[in-house]
Amino acid sequence: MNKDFLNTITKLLGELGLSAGIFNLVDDDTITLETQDFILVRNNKVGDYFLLAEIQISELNLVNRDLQISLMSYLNHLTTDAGVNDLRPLNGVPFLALDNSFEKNTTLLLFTNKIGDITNLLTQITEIEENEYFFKKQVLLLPTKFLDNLGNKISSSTDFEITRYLQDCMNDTKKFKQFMSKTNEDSDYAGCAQFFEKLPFLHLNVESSESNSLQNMIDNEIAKNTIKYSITINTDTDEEEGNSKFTILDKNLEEIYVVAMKYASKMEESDTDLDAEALLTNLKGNGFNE
Amino acid sequence: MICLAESILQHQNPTPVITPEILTIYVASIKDRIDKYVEQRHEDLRKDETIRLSEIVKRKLTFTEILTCLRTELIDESNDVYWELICRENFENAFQKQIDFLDEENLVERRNLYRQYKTTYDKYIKQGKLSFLLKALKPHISVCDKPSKSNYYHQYIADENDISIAYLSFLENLNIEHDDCFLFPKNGKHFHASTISVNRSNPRHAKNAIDTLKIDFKDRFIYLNKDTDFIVIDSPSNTEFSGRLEKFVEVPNVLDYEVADKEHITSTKDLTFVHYELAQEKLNE
Repeated sequence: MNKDFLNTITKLLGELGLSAGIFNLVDDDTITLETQDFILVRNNKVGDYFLLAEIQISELNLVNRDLQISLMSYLNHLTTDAGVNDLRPLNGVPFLALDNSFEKNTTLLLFTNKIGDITNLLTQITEIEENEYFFKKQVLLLPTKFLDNLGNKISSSTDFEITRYLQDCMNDTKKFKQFMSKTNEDSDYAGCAQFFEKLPFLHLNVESSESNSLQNMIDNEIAKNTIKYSITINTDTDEEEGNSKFTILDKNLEEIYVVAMKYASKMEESDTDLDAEALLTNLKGNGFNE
Repeated sequence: MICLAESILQHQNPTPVITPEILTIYVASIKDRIDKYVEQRHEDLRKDETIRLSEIVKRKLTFTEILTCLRTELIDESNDVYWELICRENFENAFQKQIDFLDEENLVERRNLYRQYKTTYDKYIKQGKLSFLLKALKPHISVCDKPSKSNYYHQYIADENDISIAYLSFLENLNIEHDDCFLFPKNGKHFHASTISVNRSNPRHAKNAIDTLKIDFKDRFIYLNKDTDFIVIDSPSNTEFSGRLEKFVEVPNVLDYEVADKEHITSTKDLTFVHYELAQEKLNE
């Protein structure tokens, strides 16, 4: 198994507090992959399982038929007395205890490195992810060198926190904008996005930036505005000129707003139609009159 | 005959190496020629013509005809005749082995096998359509899925072992008379014979083979008679099992989750795989 992949996953699982074990898919005549090592992960809080492996693009066509059948049968073998020792601990991660609920509760997560043109690949990936048998399946299409870079970062510094790194990368608006302008280009952002999109145990903490609510915008606007207003109301339905009442209110917008809102909600409660003249009377007075 | 064919082939074209495989094909071609000759002789005898006429008129198989077989450019993977010969050779070998395997006392089985052979001969071999039959006996495997035609024929549809353990084992205990040798009707149900074997000594491998088989039947475009209800195969135990694949259920713990498969407009006919012994019992009833 590629050491950068192994280091990345080990680090990630360690930080997330998931338990895991590793096994080598052997004793099978049908499957020959470049690496036959699989990491089995269990989320102890929820009880679901994840099966992680690196796969070559050329091997993707094996997934829906031979690979998933072999894997499901091998997982069954691991629960038997004969196979119980074939699952080995993974350095630095708590060893997992396999129970019988894996059969309907395992997601197969396949990591593959992007090489060349990916147009046809996306169809193939969709076919795998939509396949409804044996496992729920996700294929991570990672930019070239993405895992190598992560591996390097992990081995070069003991302080490196991978979850922190992924999180920061996602929150970086500059990287986001670059990514959005060239979505097909290899970038760390694309890789991190794949991690958050496809790994069910990885959760993105969205930093809630206070986007202005409409109410806030109204409030702010009103508070800034201190000009006194006058109001014109048409009292007649036929809109003849001269019938309009021109009233100098000599109040600022905030006062008008408060009284108007009170009036409107009162009318709504009593199920009465809104009446402009009544509103005007209220406005002329001090505050809202019963 | 093999030695003779080899020396003639070497004589007329000394450069290429005559591999045992190539030789087998040429011998098969000669055998086919002889077969046709014997058949014509029988035909003549039935018509009483040669008996009355002198020996000169008697139909002969000339050496020239044998030479013609050997002079034909047979080794051509794009030619259907070549593959037909391979199917024929493998089928005959499988048949001979199956007969040899039976004891003198197994008269019924021998008779059944010869009767089925005759049906196969009349309906397929004679018309040069044995490969068509063998394809129908492994309907889930297409030449397009395999790396080469050679792989498709040798490893899959014309595999001697599969023909013998799944197909001929089924036929030898079939006591019924029927005008076809792969689709057998019984009480409104149709049994489709096959050369499929999912019998493995390791139970885990057997289960994998069954799962793979189901996926192949589900995912591939298969030429299958629409009446087919049962596919007769060789499996680890004398049972039948549904061709359905169990779907991955995303949330198994939800209360009141209904797994009952309701009749749906797109639902397809359910195929059942049945062990050949069980199929024999049902058909012989």
